[in-house]
Order: sequence, then structure tokens, then C-alpha cells
Amino acid sequence: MAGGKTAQASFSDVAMASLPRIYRLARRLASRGAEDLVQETLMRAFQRFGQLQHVEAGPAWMSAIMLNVYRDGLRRSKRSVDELPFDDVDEFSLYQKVEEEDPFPYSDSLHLDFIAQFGRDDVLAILLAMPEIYRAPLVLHYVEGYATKEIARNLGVPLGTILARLHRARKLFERELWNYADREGLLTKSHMKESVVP
Amino acid sequence: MITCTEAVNQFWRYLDDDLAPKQQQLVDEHLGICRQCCGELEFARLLQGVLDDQRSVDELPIEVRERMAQFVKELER
Repeated sequence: MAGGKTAQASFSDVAMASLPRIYRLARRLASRGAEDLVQETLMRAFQRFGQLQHVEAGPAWMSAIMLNVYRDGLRRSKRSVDELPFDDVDEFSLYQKVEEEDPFPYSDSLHLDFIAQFGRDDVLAILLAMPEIYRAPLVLHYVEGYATKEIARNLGVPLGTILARLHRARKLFERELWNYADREGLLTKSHMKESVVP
Repeated sequence: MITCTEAVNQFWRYLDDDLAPKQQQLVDEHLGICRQCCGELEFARLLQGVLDDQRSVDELPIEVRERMAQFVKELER
């Protein structure tokens, strides 16, 4: 019953209530293609609106549909097979790098101060610069809260592959935090923001 | 007993409570004797917090919201 009512809510109500969540997810999954991904999701959700039984589940339902749309797009473009050759990223430890480089010599809480340099926009920029096949599981697990088994099922990828990609994604994220901080001058004294120690 | 590298490589999954009981026990034993790795574990927790914080970003631009609202209207016609 496309376009009808589900528990007194119109498709428009559910779509607009879900929009912040699905746009956030789309932005992190598809980067520049975020709006296209949202539109495809809305179209598919509209066709299946009669299947939504509880209005309050709308945002989660829309997110699940978005993952299906995203997976179908990956299959069409074969982007999912573009595994990167990895150099030394598997051995990288940001904790040790910060300790060795000691960017804030007078800090009593070096690692906390390092993390405090990053605003949300910085972190988003780092995520968006990561290769898609590593960014997707990282975002789905640590931002959106999906279990690894759910990610594997939704993306149509074996669990072992997701676990391996997630491991590399964490390492890559750590390395890119350091590279970004170095490149953007976050480690210079004039820029330094002090952490708020709880 | 596991090495520091083996322990560190499992910290994110340890924090996710996603390790098999035997592996979790090995990490626990390692943490019991290695202060450096306790620091690494806390740092991994901070990094997870940085990612989790992305969830609270409200970044839907007004113009995108308006375009999508129009798109939904067209679908419902």
C-alpha cells in the first residue's frame, strides 16, 4: 500500500522523521553520493511502506533499506572488490606514535590532549577520506551500532571478511588521525586545545 | 600468555565484548601484568568515543531537507 497510512502516520511523516539519521548514514557511506543514496532509499521505502508495522521503528527501518540500496550499488559497480594493498598499516599503533613523537612535551595527559585536538568535522573529514570498503564497516559498527554479523548480512559479505576489514579500518583510522593532525597543524603549540580531564 | 602486539590487536574487539571467552581471558591476563597495554586499552576506548560522538552530529542542511521534502511530496502524488 504505497503512499498509505501506517498506524496513523503518513509516509511523509516517517520519511521526514528518519531523514536526519539516514542522511548522516548516507554521508558517511557514500560521501559525495549521499543525496542520491537518500533518494533511492526513499523511493524503495515508499514502495514498501505497507510493510512498516511500527511507526517508531521508521528510522531503523529506513536505515536497513538504505543498507540494501547501498549493497546493491556496490554489487553493480563492483566497488566492493577494490581491496587496497596494505603496507605497514597493520603494524601501526597511534598510542605508540603519540608517545614516541611526544607532540605536547609539557602535557601530563599526552594521549588525551592528542585526541582533544580533533573536532567532529575533523573526524568526519578523516572518515570520508578513507577507502569506502574500510569506512563502511567502521561507520556501521562504531557510529551506527550495528553488530558485525548484521553488517556482514546487510552488505552480503562473509563475516570473516568484515572482521578483517574492520581490523584494517581501525588501524587505518588511527594512522589517518596522526597524518591529518600533522598535515593540518593540529600538533603545533599555537593550535593546541587542552583536554578536559573528567 | 599473549604478547603486547597480540593483545593490542584485540583491544577494540575486547571493548566491543566481541571476543571468544578464551581470547578474552588471555587479554585479561595480559592486562594484569602489562601497564603499557592498560594505557593502550584506555586510548582505544577514547578512539571509540571519538567515533561514537559522530552519532550526535546533526548535520542535515536546510536546503537538503527542503529538497528531500519536495522529493517525498512528488513520490506521494
